[in-house]
Amino acid sequence: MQSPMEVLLPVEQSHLGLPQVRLSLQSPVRHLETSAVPLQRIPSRTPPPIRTLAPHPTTPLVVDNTVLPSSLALKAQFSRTDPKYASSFGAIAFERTTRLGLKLVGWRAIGLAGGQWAKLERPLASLIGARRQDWEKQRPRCQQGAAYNGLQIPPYVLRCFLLGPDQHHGTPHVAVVSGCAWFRKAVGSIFMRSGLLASDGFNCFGLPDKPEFYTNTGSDGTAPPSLVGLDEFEVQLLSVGPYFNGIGIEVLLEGKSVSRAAIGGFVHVADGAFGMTVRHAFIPPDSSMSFYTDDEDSEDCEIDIFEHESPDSSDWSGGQAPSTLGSPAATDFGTPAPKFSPVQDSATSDRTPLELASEIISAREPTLDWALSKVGSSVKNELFAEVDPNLDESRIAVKTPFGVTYGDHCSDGILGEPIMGIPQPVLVVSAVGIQLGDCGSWGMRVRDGKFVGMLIGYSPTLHEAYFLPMMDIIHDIRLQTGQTVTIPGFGKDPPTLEVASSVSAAWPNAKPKILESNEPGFKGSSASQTWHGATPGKPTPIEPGPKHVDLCLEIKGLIKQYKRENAEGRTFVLVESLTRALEAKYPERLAYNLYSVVQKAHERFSAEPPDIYLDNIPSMLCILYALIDLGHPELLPLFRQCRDHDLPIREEVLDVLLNQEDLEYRFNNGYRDFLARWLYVQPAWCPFVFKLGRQLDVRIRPGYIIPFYAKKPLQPYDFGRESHDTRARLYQVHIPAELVKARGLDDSQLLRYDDHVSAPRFASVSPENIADGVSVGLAGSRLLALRPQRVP
Amino acid sequence: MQDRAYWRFALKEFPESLKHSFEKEVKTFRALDAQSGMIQYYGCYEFKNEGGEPIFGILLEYADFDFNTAISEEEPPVTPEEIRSFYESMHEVAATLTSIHHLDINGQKYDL
Repeated sequence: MQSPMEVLLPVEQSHLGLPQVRLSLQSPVRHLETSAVPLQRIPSRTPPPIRTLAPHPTTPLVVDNTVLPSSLALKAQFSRTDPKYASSFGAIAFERTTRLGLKLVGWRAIGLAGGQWAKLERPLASLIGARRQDWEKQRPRCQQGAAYNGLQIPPYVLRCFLLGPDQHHGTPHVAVVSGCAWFRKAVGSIFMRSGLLASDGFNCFGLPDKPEFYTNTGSDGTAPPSLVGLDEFEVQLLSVGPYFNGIGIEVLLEGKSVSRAAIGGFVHVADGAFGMTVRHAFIPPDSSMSFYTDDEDSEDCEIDIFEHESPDSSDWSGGQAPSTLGSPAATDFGTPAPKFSPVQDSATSDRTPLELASEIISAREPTLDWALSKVGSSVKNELFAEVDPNLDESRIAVKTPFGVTYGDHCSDGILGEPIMGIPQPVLVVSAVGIQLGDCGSWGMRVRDGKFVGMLIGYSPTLHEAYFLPMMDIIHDIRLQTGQTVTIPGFGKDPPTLEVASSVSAAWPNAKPKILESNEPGFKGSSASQTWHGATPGKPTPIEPGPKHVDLCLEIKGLIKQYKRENAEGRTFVLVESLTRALEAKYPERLAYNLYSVVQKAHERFSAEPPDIYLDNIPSMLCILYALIDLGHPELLPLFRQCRDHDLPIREEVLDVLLNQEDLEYRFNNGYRDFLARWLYVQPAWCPFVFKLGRQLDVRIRPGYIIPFYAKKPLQPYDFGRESHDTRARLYQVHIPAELVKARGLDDSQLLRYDDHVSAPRFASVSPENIADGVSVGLAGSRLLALRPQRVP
Repeated sequence: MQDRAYWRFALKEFPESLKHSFEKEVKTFRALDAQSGMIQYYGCYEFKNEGGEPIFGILLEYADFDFNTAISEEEPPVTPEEIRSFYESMHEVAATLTSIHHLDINGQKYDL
């Protein structure tokens, strides 16, 4: 049996691996442009011209005794783009023109800058709470003395953009997006003084804009929490369509409508079915309680660029005043809002009508912006967009009461809501057309149909929708209720839908109060338990497991067993294999046993229980394994703000997470010695995983191990001519089977090293030492097609 | 010693100075995705070496020989069966080359 003949794709310039039949790579592209078939024009991403303010009369600036035009002097503030950030420019998020006529562009941060932002966002968000007394000093006096209730935190968003006049002069900036000028300046100054930004070349600026919480009809949904109990609210369905997901609801208080929102989907808590919506929909429409104000002069929309300040600066207000860049408006991308078709009414549906019960559940002290409304009938969630595995995993479908709209998950951020005690970690989805009453809608990843989050806010000027990660919500409900939480799926099989695992893990600072069952707010029923604005139950007690020391020794042994070296001699650990080995020995009890290890080790230093939850363990396995390997599993709670995907953690971040003074006495050689050992060990726990297919088109984060067992230079065939001057290199590489995630690979092609022979490293991979290798052209198995079959 | 199973791939690495070539090559590989008869493109990635320099990699299906080597080193067909097999194989090569000139990119068909 002969297989089809294969030819290698010709490649341009590099001249590596060329087939005998040579084609110029340029040909297809060039011919495409001149082909009789017209090319499909892609809509330009370039925004239309924007309004500019007339230049204000200003005093010329003097730099080195030279009078510079103001716009030139301003442009000089933006140094040339650091080459390491050259690939970090994502889509344009906004454009602002200064009063001096300089256009500043904000690009969404991707690549390296995006990765560094992922590490910075949570430590920075924690500063807002920790340094509150600092920024409170800057609140206008007229507001300081006003009578108001609640948490008094203005709505804000923390984002990351590359800011500059062009891509040659763009710098990664942390953006404090808020409508309150004093808050932007105060928080920006705190960030700059923290020292967290300087090491990566980040800066900070304040962007005048106001996130919207599209729910309330009477107010903008930003009023502080009320003393009104949730049981005083009623929820009515606005319509029942063919889909249960994304149903519009109206929240009533004393018979009057206070807000509109959406029930994005349904969860099962214990035996009860609940529709999920946003907590901030349950706020009395008392406009007098809107205590904070936006910028008084709405025309004076200034970008505040903050200078780096010395950490020991005594008074931030005495520091350098921020640069003032005026702007009239954010960019209008020219993308028309999609026309949504309202969901058909119940006449088109043959299903059992949805019924809402009277119970509404949320945490008494809400940490995340969710609320549950009990439903009278058992319902399941549905896929509201066709799953397409070929689509990029960033594609998100949002089912709102007005229909299905689409967006792209472009980044992560932090959303500050006035009614919530802690910042909300959010997925940022670039989308247009979010409307009043859409909050509560769920987002679904189109690639695999997994629910990624719930819509809680929107920026109409940045065209960004903010989704609370579904994993965080489920985790929080589980903690608040102490019960099993599942997302009922579609049809009969599978019974439950999975929550997307790629979203960020639970917000580490969320420490909900777990109420005892006898506390106010707890309600029990004979059939099932429901909770009314309270959180009953206790975390599941830890049952006795193997001895602490024995399990630590066992894990250390397995770590040694699954340690590997790459072609450069760097060590990495096959984490999945290690975990599978442990799961095989402790089926369904591994998390309990690992938690027990932490608990027992922690008891040696503190009478208090470890400040970490059992549910955190599965997402922190690598961190825990590394700590066990270092002999300090009790330190896991100090890493509770991190997850495995945060590895490797930079030293500056570790300094923030860990308290040197507290830890100094624990180690024989002090805190710095532990830190050095951690920094040495942690790269072993983050080998890059090759998810073959389009999703492999990624930037590998700095510090990751490239896990090639072997890497051998190959000699390309040059058609008998001298090699062209190219520095592209061709290699044969061996990648551990455990680290290749792919469908469609032929298992018969899987190779194995002899059990008693280590992997050949081909350590010398310098171009000068290219061996008489083979060229790449035809896949080996397919070459048989070319070889004549000898007839005996 | 653990059983060390591994996959073998071809890796093409570009320095930053050849980023343009890398991007163009990736674009072409993607355009030819799902075309039969070609070396498979598995994906690309970017990382920084220990010196902090960006390196761009393209992961490809590994092959033991290229077309030229096979033609030049294999014995020529002699028997009628070998000749028939050889020309059938050449026909497959021609078909693959033809497919390169008729592309379907994102549902848009291009005839070169």
